[in-house]
Amino acid sequence: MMIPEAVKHFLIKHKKGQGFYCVELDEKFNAKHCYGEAKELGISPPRLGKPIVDFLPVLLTESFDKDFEIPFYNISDNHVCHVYFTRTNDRIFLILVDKSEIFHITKKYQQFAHDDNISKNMFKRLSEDLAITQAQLKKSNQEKATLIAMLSHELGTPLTSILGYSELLMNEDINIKKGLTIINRNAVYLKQMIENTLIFGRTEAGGIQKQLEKVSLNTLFSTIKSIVLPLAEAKSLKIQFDFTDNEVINIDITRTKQILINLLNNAVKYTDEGFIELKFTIKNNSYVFSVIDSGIGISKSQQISIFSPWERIEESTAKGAGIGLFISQKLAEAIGAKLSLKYSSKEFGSIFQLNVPIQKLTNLKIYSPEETKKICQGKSILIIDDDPDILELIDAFLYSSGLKIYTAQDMIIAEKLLKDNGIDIILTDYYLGNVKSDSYVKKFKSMQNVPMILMTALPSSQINVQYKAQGFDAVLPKPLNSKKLIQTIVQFITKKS
Amino acid sequence: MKIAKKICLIGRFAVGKTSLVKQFVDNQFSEKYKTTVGVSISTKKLKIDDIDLSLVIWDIAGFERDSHYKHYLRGVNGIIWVLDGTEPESFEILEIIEKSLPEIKQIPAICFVNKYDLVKKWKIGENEMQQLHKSFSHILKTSAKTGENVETGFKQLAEMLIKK
Repeated sequence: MMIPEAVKHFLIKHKKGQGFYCVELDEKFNAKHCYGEAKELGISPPRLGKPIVDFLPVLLTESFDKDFEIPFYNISDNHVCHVYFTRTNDRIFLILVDKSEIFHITKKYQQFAHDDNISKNMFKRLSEDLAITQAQLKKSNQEKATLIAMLSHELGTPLTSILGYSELLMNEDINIKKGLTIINRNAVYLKQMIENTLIFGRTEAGGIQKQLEKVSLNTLFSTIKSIVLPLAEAKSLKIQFDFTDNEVINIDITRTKQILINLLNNAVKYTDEGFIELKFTIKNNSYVFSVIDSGIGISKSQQISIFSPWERIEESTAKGAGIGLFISQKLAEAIGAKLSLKYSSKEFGSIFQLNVPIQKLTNLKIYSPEETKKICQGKSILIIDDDPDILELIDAFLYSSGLKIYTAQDMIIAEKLLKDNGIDIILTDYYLGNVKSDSYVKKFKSMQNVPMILMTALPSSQINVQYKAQGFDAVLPKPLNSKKLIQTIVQFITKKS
Repeated sequence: MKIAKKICLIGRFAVGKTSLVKQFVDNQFSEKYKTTVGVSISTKKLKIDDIDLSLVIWDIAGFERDSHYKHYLRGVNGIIWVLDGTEPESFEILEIIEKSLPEIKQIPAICFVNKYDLVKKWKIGENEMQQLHKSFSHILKTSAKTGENVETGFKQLAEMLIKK
């Protein structure tokens, strides 16, 4: 069939030497005549007299009131065409111009350009991630360097006092009580510093484990008081502990104590006159500990970053590393509590608040010293540690328990003692010189099937799981808490009996 | 009742427009990136209440320029804006297109923030999401790979078009 002149003109304008297919439509947009080879475009010709939408469903939503074009319409993977709808000299045409060749070339170049762009973006993102990691690493290294520098300085001062006063005591040049008080105060400060540093390390490594225990408020507060009171008295500060009933609460004693001591230490540090108060209340199913002071307060600008590491109050010359609050907040998070600064001003001082959600009391019995002695009478314990001072210290801790105590500085002696004596429980350190105690668990248990308790300076939930998988029955954190140690031993002995 | 609606997918290249359509229409996904030139058109039939709806889905090649879109957007009933959560630059297309084609704002639209399967690598924060909420009443975090929210998203737009 002869191609209409109008279509010829149109094709000259748009075709540029490519294949085409043209359908002439009637006023109802039904196919009337066809021109060209449909096969060349990978399509079947329309049925004459039928709606054009049946031929090209893409036109289902098109309105035919005006001329339009659809460039690069993908008919199939291999065939692409420009679709034109046009009215010329009262005739209606749908013209498909083959653009497959240019499509394939364009696609090739576009694919290359996009792939290139995607690779560049990926490289950019990787470089950004690398830069962030490097910056974090650099910051972490700087913080560690700061920590070491600070520790050299901070540990040196109390150590000088401890060494100096112990020398004076040995030479009997000073009143014993006065000398011991000073040594004790500095040792407490040192302990606090070391504990904070150890916790800082654990926080960085992400491993703090919650350990719930029952404790009476009296006991908790008197322990805290014994540590903080000498510091407050040295500055002539009044210190109050406010709680109405001597309730028994179920909390992570070690962490809660650590947080409260950190807060009270800070309160002492930043208060030159007035008072410090530790207040206990119960509110909204939480234990609320408030540390109130009449100190120098914290400026608004510093309040934002007060819980970040290395932050210290600018106006003060008080000593300290600036990690106390950071550690306290991390500890609070680890035990499911919330630590916040409730109030602070230069005029009235500060209020920090620790909210600990109330945990149900477990039925774990706490044994009195008399009960402990009765249970432990005739029982024996083997303590293994390569440090003779620690052996002596644990011996002293357990002196009044009634236990028969065997000590060993290495595994060879321990094995011999185990072979020759009836042992009820074993308490061991992890590192014993070059030997690790976990390699002896199986052997010792095959000799006498007794509970083995591990002492470690690195307790965390992950490490606990690991140690328990190695056969240890319990893990106790270092530094050892004498009461916790005795309670654990008694519980195992009771279970065994 | 039978009706047909034309919807267009708009977004920067490589955000996953073709994969979203492929997932919705054929339940398929390919990891290999294949660029789209021009427009690829598919249809999907849906039944919403008593209405048999034919969705004619125009998957338009991703460009950042507006001139390219006007031929394809003629008579469009709804738009799916596709953004890539891992690529913050893909969000810029909204401003570019809306600036040159302000009338596009009148068209019912929905926004897919795609590649939710790679959410750990997403580079967009709350700020960007809040900005999006100013422009769209419907925003879905989609994954063409897992199919998450893909069908839901297309159906939400379809319902919007029917109710309009």
